[in-house]
Amino acid sequence: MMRQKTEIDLGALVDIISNVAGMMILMACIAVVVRSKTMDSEAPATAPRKPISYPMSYISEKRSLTLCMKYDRLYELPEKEALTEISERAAKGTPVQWIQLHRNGVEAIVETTPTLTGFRFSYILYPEGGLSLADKGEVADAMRGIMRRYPPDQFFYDIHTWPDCFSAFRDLRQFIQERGGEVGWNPHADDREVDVSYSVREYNEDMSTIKAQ
Amino acid sequence: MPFLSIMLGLMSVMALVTLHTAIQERQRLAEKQVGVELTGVPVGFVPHEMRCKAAGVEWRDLKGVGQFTPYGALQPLFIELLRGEQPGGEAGRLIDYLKACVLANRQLSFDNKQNTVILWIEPDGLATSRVISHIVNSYGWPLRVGMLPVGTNELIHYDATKD
Repeated sequence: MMRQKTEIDLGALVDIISNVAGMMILMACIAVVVRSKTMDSEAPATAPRKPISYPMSYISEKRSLTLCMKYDRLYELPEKEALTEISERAAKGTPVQWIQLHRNGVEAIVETTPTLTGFRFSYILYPEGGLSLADKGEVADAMRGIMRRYPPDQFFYDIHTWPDCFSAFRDLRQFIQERGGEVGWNPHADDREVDVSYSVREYNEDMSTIKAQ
Repeated sequence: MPFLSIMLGLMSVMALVTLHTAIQERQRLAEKQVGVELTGVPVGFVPHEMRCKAAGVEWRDLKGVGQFTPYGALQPLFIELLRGEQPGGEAGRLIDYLKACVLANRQLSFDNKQNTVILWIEPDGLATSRVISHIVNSYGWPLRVGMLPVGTNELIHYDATKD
């Protein structure tokens, strides 16, 4: 009985090798493209540049107005309303330990500090509140209104900003600065139970580190 | 054999498509990229700009050479600080740079100048910026630290002539 002799097709082997080599070259090209993208960390000297003004290099002596930018929305915090309510209750002789308010998608909790010298403000922002940042004209109108109520010669604008609003914050910062306002900001990274919390007339540790805002 | 040839052919097509997509994505990003530049620097301030990313911090040493300190390299630093040891490695270089900025301030003050640090913070780089602030705070250095937001697609124009 004759054994059938198996023949190897060398043409197919050449196909395999050339295909593999071709794919390796393509992969190398992809790696070069991706690599060259990640290395471009600096702008070429001739590229158009957007001017970003230097951060505030001093602690403003003006009263601060706190605003928030989150969920692509601009929030005005009801600090004034809360203080008015505390003041009214205190005038009636009622001891005020804390109050809670809901205004325009912002929940505010104001407590008297243990030192009795000031107040602790806590705010929770809701996505359905505030003003959408999508309509820049509307935001500009709202900001003009805020600056009329809180004039830039008396107030400094402190804006708590979340990463989704970094770009919009810079536009708003420029808008305020062009109208003679001073702007500071507090970047926030993550979702916490309370979005913004600060005290009036209590030592603020952050101020010792961030000497410019 | 025909099956193998078909498979290899398909893989080649996939590789070509991937390459095309990568090139397109690069072009798209290149089109969207914009440069940003720090302006309105107060008289006498010498800004040292750092870019805080989720992966770490990009900075330039006093010779203007680009450096990168990974976020992960910053954690051992605080352990070394607790032990009272001199920080080494990548974090040590960053510490030396910040220290040099602080020490240079003494000389600069005679010319009414001072080094300041500007942290450009990418949307996901806040944790890194906080570490830098904590380093300055931990050492109690008299060094101003300012913060500005920067997009991931934005390229910072550094002024090489600032010093």
